[in-house]
Amino acid sequence: MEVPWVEKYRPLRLDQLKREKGTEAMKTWAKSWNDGIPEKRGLLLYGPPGTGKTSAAKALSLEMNWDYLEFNASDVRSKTAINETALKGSFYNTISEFKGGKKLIVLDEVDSLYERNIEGGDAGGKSAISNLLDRTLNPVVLIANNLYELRSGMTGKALVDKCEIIEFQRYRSIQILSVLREICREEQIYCSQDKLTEIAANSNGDMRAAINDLQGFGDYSGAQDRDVTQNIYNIMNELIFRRKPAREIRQEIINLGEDPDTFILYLLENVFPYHLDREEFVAALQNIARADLFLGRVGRRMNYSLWGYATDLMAETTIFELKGDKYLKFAFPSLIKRMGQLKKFRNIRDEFASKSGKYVHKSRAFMDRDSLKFIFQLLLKDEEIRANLEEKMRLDIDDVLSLDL
Amino acid sequence: MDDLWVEKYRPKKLDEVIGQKVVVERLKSYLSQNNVPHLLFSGPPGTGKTTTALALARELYGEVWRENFLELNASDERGIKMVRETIKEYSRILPTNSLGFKILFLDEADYMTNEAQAALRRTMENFTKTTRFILSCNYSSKIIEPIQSRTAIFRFKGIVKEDMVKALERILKSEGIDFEKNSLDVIAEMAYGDMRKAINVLQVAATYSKVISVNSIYEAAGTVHKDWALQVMNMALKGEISKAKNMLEDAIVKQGISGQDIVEQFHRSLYDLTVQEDLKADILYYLGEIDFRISEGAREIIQLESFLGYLYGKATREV
Repeated sequence: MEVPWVEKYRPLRLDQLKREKGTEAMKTWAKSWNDGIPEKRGLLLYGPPGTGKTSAAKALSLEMNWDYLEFNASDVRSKTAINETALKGSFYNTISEFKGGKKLIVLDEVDSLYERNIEGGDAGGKSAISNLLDRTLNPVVLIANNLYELRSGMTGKALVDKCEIIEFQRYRSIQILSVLREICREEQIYCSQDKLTEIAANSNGDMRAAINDLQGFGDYSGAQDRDVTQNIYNIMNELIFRRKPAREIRQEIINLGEDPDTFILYLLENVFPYHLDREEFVAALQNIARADLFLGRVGRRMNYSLWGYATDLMAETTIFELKGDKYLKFAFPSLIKRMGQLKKFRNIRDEFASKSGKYVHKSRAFMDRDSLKFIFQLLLKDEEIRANLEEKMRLDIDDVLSLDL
Repeated sequence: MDDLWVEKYRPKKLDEVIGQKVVVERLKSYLSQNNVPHLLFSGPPGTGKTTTALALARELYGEVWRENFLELNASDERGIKMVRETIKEYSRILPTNSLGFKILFLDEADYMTNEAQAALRRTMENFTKTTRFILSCNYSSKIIEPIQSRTAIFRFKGIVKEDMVKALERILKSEGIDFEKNSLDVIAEMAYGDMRKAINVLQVAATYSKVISVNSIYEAAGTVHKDWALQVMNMALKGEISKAKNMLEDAIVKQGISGQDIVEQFHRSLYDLTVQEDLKADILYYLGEIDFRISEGAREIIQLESFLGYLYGKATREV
């Protein structure tokens, strides 16, 4: 599949975000850095997922001609880590001196950093950021979903006070709709007005979710019932965030017009982005793997009563108990998306193995497990041998080199 | 460089075959009688079984060896159909040479099903006059008894270090490539008696530097044998679960490794993981569990990703 549309259509200029008030305030803050160190060295962008916070930070750095240095919650966890990376970076202007003389230090997902703090995993992270805001010589942007969670506690309050604060509200359906239409035009795909409206409405103001959805429908148009996909999405959303009792979700999985073997792949894929809540994530994966075992037994033994257990286990795959604020970023199973590739690569590889096998008097299977990697390296490194073997083995050399051996 | 060295330097005559003195002497006595029985070549990969068969054919038939020699790979065309059709067709055609028989070389014969082997046995008997079989295998025990008893068995030994180094030296001399003295010892050490592997490593190493050095050898071997499974496991243990998932899917899609093979590779690489022993035991247990589940019909991708998740759950939280 091609580039995710959320990346392809990520706004590069602040005005493309269609958030006049917020982006004006961002620019004012940024320009104040031209006259020395401003009173508030931090800029806090907060709001629900998919409202353009990260894009805004990136666009700001482009417009100011600043370097962009991003740390997200999976990079920065503790006081030491923040001091080692972000704080150090905040003191030095290296290459950036040739540009606007500054770099924008962006700490993404800072509220999920604090969730870890409660568990005792990332102790000191909050005060380290506070310290960073006191001492940094470069502009710092903090990005969070939940302001109140971030502001909790003494350190939190002090930290937030050191920032200019800008709220990013959910996009309205009509705004999302216009972006979706624009993408359809660009991609030259057709999607009915009803469907676009539905995607926009279901996105709950999350631009990323809406665009992902749109791309998903494009992928599967014709091949799959669109309503089923929409239902999978809804169930997944209820499931992962436990918006309904497991018993009800179970019933919805059963009523869904999708076979459990496919549903479980969706579930697996959509659980993965939530690995930061480590224990819940691992438990969810265990449930999925066990559910899959039952599905396997259904197939092996033709014992359809085992389906019930699989469904039960899937319905228990909750990651965020009673945290209703988040919204699922829907993903299609990456392996399904890549299945077409699988066949293509397998064919290329088989052909390579059998042609080179003929050449050195060995079987395709033997080449595959023994010699193919060597020959691949030689083709990669040496033009003379590439030209010669291309002719002698009758290889399609571009195909072969697209392999990753 | 213009060709694969494994082909370019493949010995053409029996006397040039490396490291199999006993085998060669016995075969030469057949040559002097202008007759060979059915043969079974058994031994590890890269010890010269195919080379010996080809050289034997050349010496028996001279210029016209190609017309009197058929090479088949049992692992590509295994099954009873190959025996009933291809082999039978070839065997019943009368030879045009003065010796009165042609040769059918059946490589990787231990990959044949037992039924196919049983069918082969009859063909071998019925057409002995016109066709002599040379079967080649890694393990003679996987060849059914009746065939073993109808063939003269030749055991190929792993190539010893000195022979291997000498052969590699000859190749480099003829290519005009210099080498550090002990670099060839390193290859020989690594190759475990497999001449093909040694030559392949040498040729890849030659693309890295003008002079073959110990470093270029390690680099070549490292590029080809990167411990992929270990990398993925470490990635998950470091907490980079999304990257680990990506690598896993890349291996499946781009390298075409089956899920079952991946489980095996994880298993093999587990010993090299630098984690505490009791944790290693836990990991091993979980890996065994998913292997069992897969045998119960569970899907490989789901189980493997849950395994990565398991490792991720055991990850030590970074400072």
